[in-house]
Amino acid sequence: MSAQAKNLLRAVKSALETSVYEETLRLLPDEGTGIDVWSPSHGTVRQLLPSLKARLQNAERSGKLIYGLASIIMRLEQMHVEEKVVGYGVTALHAEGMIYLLEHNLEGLGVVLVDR
Amino acid sequence: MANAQGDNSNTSQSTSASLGSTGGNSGGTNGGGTGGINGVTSGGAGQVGPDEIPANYTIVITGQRPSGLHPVLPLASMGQEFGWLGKGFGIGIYNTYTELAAMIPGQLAINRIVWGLPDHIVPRNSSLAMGASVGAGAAMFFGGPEVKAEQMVAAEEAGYLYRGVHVGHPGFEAAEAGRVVPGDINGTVSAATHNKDALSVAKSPFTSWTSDLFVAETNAMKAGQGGIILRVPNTPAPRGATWSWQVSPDIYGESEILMRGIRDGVEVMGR
Repeated sequence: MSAQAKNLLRAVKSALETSVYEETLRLLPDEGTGIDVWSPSHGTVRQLLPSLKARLQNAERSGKLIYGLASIIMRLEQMHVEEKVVGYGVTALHAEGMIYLLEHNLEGLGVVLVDR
Repeated sequence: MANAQGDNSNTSQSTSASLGSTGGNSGGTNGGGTGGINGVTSGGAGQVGPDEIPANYTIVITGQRPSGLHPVLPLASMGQEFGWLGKGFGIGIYNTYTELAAMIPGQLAINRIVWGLPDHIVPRNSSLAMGASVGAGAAMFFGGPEVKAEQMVAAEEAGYLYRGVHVGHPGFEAAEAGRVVPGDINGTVSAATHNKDALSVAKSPFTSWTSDLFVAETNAMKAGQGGIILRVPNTPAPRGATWSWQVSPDIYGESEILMRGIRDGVEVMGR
């Protein structure tokens, strides 16, 4: 894992609440986790939040377990809708998904992870 | 079953065909309607007022949406709104086209379908507000020779794929016109990234579709009421089409399939 990827992962993990943090530690070990640092996606809270909320509704209905989803929604709901966020795709042995950070300072916002 | 007295059973087992000229007992008076049906139609009807409906047409209020995911509609309240049902139109509840076809007498065929519950039929503040606003399977008009009921049954058995488009979506206006346009037709976003990353779609050559109507609805409602649902038959792209299907990793379990490219002539189910 590159130094940049390690920093991103560390930033995100430090922002997670305990329950999500523990799952994330398990699913995204420092070694063996790939982070697509070359093609992050950019957007705003306004763009991201409704999509994640819809995803949560779908998951609640289907029973699909998505780690960190409810947590990051709560976090985003407290933010200004024009706040810019950046997302990185992550892939590990047992999980894949996204990590999201604030764009301007790369402060971690949360993760959206599923088992694979 | 086939009345509008609040029998909202979704079993629809009765054989009392409501599709005739006897008319459904709407429970309401002939109050002249409330401005017609503001549904998007496959037959180009657009606004259809009660006085514009030929006498041999039959209105059918579906008890469930085509995929059978949602509770039946409160026909008592709808009957009040459909005050003009007493003018010789039948009304019934049907869960599927198959079931509907079984109820169609003789050679009666379908030539016009109106999808979508107009807001004035089910008030927005009702428990069905979501159903009303994003619509799906609400009213149909029958009569004429163009589309046989059997064809509708075949289409249902083949299945459909749905796409919810929310208010404010960059492609919303195009979607209202039955045109599907991805965020960036020349984008290099992969199917995996499109599926995984909600922020990637603006640069993606794909649009998301699902076989699960509930998923389409939640997407249509992302920005509140007013979203629409698109529907296409679950069939391969014809040769030379401007679009194609692509498998999605569907890591979030949303029964997603991706469409690459631009597609016109898509059915708008309603809002």
